[in-house]
Amino acid sequence: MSQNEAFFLDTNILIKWIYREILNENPAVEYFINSLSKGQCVILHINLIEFETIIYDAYNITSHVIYEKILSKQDWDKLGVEDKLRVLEDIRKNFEQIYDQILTKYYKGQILPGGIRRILAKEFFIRLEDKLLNSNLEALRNHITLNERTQDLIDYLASVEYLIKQKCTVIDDTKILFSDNIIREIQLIYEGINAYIRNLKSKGYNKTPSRNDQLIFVYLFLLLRGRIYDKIVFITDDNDFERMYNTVLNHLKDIINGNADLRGDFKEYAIEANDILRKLVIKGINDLITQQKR
Amino acid sequence: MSADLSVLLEEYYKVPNDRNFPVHLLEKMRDYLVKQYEENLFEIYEGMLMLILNPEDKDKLKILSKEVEKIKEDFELYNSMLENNTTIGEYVNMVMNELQKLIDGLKKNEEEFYKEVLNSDNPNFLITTYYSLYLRFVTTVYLKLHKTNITNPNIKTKDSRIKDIFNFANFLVGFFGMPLLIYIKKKEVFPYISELSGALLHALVADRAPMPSKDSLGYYLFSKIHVVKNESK
Repeated sequence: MSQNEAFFLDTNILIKWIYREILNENPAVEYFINSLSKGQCVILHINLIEFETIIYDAYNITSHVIYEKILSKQDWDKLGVEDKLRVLEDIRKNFEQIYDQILTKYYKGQILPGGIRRILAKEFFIRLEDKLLNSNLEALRNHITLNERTQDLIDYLASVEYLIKQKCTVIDDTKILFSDNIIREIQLIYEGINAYIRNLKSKGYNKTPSRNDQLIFVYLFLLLRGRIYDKIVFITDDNDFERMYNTVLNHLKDIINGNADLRGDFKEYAIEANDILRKLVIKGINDLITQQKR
Repeated sequence: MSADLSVLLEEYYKVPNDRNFPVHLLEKMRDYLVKQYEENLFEIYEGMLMLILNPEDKDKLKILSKEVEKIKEDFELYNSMLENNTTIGEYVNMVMNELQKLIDGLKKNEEEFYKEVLNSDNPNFLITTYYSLYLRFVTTVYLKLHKTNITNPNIKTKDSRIKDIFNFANFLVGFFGMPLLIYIKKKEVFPYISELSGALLHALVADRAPMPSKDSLGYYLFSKIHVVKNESK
C-alpha cells in the first residue's frame, strides 16, 4: 500500500453502512469500514450533503404523515391510550401507501420516489411512536409543524455525523487552489464526461451521471493532483461512476494520440490528467468484501 | 403576512420601483437560478462551507470571489457603484443592517408562514423546513461576520480586502433566499429545494457539536436507531 492511500465512500455505501440493520444489509460492509483506519476512510462533503438530503426528504414526509393523520385530528388529546395505539398501528400498517399518496399529491417532482426514502421515513415513524403516544397535541405541533422540527433534524444529523466522524475523515475544506493548468485539465475531464453523457443519450438511456457525480469526480481528481492523497479507491455499489471514469480516460487517450486534438495544444495536459487519474481506482463494495474474506 | 415577507425579501434584493415585483422577472430569475445552481455547484458548496467554517481563509476567498463575480454580474443588482462611494466601515454597516432587518423580519413572520403554508391547499413540509434552515443560515452568517475584525474602517470599500467576505456573504444570502421569494410570489417550490436544504443542513451541522436538549425528538430518534444498536453488540 502506498503511503497515503484512502478509501472514499459513495453516498450509497454511507447509507448501507449507517442504516445496515434497517436495510438488512450484509454486515460485511460494516466490518470492512471498521477494518480501515480513520485516515483511510474518507467521505467528501458532497456525499455527506447527498446523505443529508435523503434524511431531510424522509423526515419531512414522516412529519407530513404525522401532520395529516394525527395532528389534523383535533381529538388526539381526548383519545384513550388504546385508541391512540390503534391509530398508530393503522398508520404503520399502511405506511407505504400513505407515503406514496402524499408524495404524489404534494411532492411531485420535488422528492425522488426511490425506496430508500420511504424505508427511512417509515423507520422514523415507528421509532417516534412512543413519543407520539405520550405527547400532547400542543407539544407535537411544535415539533412536527413548527420550527422545532428543524432543530430536531439538525440534532439528529449532528449526532449521526458524530458517529460517522468517529470512524471516517470528512473532507469539508479541500484547500485546493486553482491555476490555469488545473482549469485546462478539468476542461478535458468535463469534455470526457460530456462525451459519455452524449453517448448514453444517443443509445436512449435517460439515466446519466448526476451533477453531483461529476463534481465528485473532479474533487477526487483535484485531491490526487494536489497530492493530498497518493491513491484513492472510490467505493460504490453501482457501475455508473466507473463507466464515467473509463470514458474520460478514453477521451484523454484520444487527445494524447492526436485523434481528438489535431494541433496537440492540449496534449501535455491530457498526459498529466491521465497520469493522475491512473491513481484513482473504482471498486464495487462487493469486490472488496469478497477480497477481504479470502 | 406573505405580503410583508415578500416586501422584506424584495428590499433585500433592492428591487427597483418597490412593491410590484413583476412576475415575468421572477420567472427569469428562477430559470437563472436553476442554471446557476446547475453550473456553479462547486463555487456554491465551497463558498458556503468556507463562510460558515473558515471565513478568514483569504486565499480561497479571493479565488471564489472571482468566480462568483462572474456569476452574479447580472444577478445581483448593486455593487460597483457602492464600492466606489463608500468606506469599508460604511459598507460593513450597510450589509450588517440589511442582514439584521432580514433576520428580524424572517423571525417575526416565521410561525405565520408555517401556518399559512400548512393550511393552504398544498401543504408542503419542504418549504417550511427550508424557511427555518434559511433563517438559521442567515443568522449564522451574521454572527460570523459580526466577529470580523475591521482594522481600518476609513479606506474606500473597493480597496479593502475585507469587502470580499461581505460581498460573498451577500451573494449567498441572496442566492439561498430566492426559493422563498419564488414560493411567496408564485406558490411554486424550487426544483432543487432538497439539494439546497441538504447543503444548508450540512453547513449548519458541520458548524456545531451535538448538544441536543433533552426534549429533542432528533436526539431521541438518534438514540433509538443508532445507540441501542451499538450497545447491544
